[in-house]
Amino acid sequence: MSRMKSLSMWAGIGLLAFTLSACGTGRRGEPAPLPPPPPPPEMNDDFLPPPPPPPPPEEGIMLPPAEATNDPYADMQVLPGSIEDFHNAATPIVFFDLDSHSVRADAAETLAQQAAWLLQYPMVDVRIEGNCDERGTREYNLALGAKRANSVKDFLVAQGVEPNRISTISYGKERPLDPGSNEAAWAQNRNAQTVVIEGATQPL
Amino acid sequence: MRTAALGTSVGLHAGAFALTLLTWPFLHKPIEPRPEPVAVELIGPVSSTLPSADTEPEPTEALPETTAALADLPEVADIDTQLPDVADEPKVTEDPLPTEVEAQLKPLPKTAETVEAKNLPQPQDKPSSGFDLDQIASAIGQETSPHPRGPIGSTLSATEIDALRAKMQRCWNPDCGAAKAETFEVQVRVYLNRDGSLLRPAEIVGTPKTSAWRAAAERAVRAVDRCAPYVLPQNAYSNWKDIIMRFDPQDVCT
Amino acid sequence: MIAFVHRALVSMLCVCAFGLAAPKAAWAALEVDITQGVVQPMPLAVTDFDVGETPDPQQIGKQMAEVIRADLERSGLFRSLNPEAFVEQSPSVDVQPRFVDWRAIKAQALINGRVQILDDNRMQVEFRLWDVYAGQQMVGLQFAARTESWRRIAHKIADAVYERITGESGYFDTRIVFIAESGGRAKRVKRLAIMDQDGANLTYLTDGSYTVLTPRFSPTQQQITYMSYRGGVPRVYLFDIETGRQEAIQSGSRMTFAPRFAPDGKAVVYSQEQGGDSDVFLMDLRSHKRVQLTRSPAIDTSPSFSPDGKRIVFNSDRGGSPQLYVMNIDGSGVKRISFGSGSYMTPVWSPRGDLIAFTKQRAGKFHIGVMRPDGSGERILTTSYLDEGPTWAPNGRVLMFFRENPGGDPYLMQVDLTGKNLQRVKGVGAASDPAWSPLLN
Repeated sequence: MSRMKSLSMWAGIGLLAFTLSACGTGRRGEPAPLPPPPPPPEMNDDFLPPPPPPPPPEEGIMLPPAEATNDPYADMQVLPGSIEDFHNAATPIVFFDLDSHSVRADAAETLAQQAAWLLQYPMVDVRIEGNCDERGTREYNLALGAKRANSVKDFLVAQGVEPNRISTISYGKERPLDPGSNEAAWAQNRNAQTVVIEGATQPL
Repeated sequence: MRTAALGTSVGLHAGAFALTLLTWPFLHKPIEPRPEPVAVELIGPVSSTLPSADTEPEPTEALPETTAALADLPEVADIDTQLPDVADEPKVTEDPLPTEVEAQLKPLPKTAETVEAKNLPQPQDKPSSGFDLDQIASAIGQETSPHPRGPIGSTLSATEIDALRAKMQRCWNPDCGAAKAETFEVQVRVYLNRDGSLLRPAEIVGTPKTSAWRAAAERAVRAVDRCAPYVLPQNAYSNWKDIIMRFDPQDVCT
Repeated sequence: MIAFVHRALVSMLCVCAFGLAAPKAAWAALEVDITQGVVQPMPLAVTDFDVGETPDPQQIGKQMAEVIRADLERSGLFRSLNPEAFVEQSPSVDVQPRFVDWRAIKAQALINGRVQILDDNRMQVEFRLWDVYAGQQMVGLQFAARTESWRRIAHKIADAVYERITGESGYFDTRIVFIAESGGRAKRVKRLAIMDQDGANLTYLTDGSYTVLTPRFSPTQQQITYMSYRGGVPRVYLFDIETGRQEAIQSGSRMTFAPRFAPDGKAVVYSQEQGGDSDVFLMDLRSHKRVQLTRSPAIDTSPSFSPDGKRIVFNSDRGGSPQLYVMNIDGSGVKRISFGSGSYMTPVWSPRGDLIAFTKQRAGKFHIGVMRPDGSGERILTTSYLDEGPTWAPNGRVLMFFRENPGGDPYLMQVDLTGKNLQRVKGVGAASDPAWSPLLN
């Protein structure tokens, strides 16, 4: 079981990394000019519109897929309740302002989508990972990362997700998405990532 | 003699080391891969009375002295025998240095006397040729001095005192990083010969109560040493043959 | 009544003494006030230690002198004179030095020594420190140890010299525990590591399979407390240097971080996070009893004990930005002490008790600075893109910290508390979170 857990965790990390680089935000080492920080999505004055409910899942979440594959993208069919499905339904990351743990308006929209998907798949457990930019001390950032992770958790709980499905962890400034030392990189690195750790539909 | 001394010494060291082993739990379980601090044992002070190299200017003459010094080895051992006193206290390795420094203080004057007798200019002696030169130089300096020469027994002018102060300030190197460095005001009494050399080592006024204060006082004494000789108007010698220099770190160290 | 008489007698005596002394002083002494000086390193000569007829294939006599020179020079208080200028390379410790020769090269102090390699891989070392002007021995000591310990003896000699000349204890026979980093920024591997204060004898204590952060030395030197992601939950651990054993100080899923030992080594003060709120806790290491010291909804972290064990300085953003606060060890009497512009973090109380060092962030720069425990007398010592995490040398005169340039790896730096003598710590590559040990025994 714990092996499954870690497998799905790694799958989650892999997917996340893929998603990010697909979005053109991932960076490798080079101090190349970066695109602007994650665009605050078009502001919606209607705070938290409930996202359109996705099609109800099929009976039995653990439906085995037609064919097993290591490459989730080889088979374009997305398994409902899978990590990939989650990433299609909602961006698994939200960003924060400098030295802040308040959920931004753009993040609220993203989190509402995450919550909706989580409500749809109640077997799924997630871990919220709080991160900070390098412009703070290690210890303060550990605390700030925890605050960010918990802001996200509180938001999801307020949307109806069971609190015991959500764990949190802070990585402080230890795990920058973007290793650069500039405003764009810092904006990327002030985040909370929602990682599916348990209960996702697994391709076999 | 030499073997006996060595034997005593080795025996004492072994004893002290055994004692250290007993009192030092760190050594009980040495574990190979761990970066344990390696054991270093402080044996104690070494004798501070030595034959002077200065007594015999010929370098070749140093050899017999070394032999003489070896013959003196029991003296080192004598000091070693004081170790058990220190070792009687349960933690010999914990705090050996301060004790040692204190013990070290006592024999110092002895050395000071002998050294002084040999190294420092003797006021009553006829100055050496080197001093003659200095005297001539200072005499010339006086001839060309812009300050009017007063009668014998006159005092230094404010300008001359300022110049002396400026000179001292170039020689004084206070240790501003010391705790409460700015509070270590030190007074030093300086006795000068007519030629401006030190009659005797500068004296610290008062008794330093802490090692840091003593260090500050020694820095003042060192400043006096560094600045010597003091070229001052001969006619005012009675005024400057005895100077109290007050070193106040308040401004430098804050 | 008796006391009164006694006092009267004493004052009479004083008057007499004064009466005798006063005219003499008035008659004789010219008084000169010196209020300015030149703060500069003291020139000293450290000669290669005399090995006599002993075979010295490792050149221990020479190497020891080099370690001593490097230690003393690094302190910024001494300038080691070039041995090529010495009239005598390894003067014997059995005769008084020819002070004239040393005065001639402007040495104010002279250190000479002797190494005797004994049987059984042991050695005996003695040294003497001479005041060149006064022509006096200032200190002389003998040490015995195994020959491989020659570096430690050299550090102990440097400490003895430092102590005798400054009147304050040295810090050369010490070690640094820190985080050795590798793998670049994207895939950073962090290992707990330990080395001598001068960068020698580097040893890794963990293998890098999990992230470790913020190690701190116990005052007893036997233990290190640090934060580790081992097992997935970030927690405070204790590492026993002797046995290599590590254990979390508390179980459960809550994050614990930012640990530091109490001055007696019997308790650890740290932060615990719950529901996003970080508060300061104190744990007795024997009973494992915990006390919560802060209860604000804000971030309370980076606690550090005063050396007398009576107060704790910590970092909190309860006022809106990260600032420094001092409280009693029961959590009472919280008082903000930092009021300058910018953020103040990672306060560390000086072992001397007179200052608190901190990391300051202001206008896009980071600084290491010091202030008095009441918040007065702030002095900024360093400035860079990122300077963080000061740790005090055990004598409270030198600070080590880590520095990072944009996009680069961190490295260790040190500076003395007057802000002078800033230098990179040699012998170690990418490294962060240094913590200085107490003086070794």
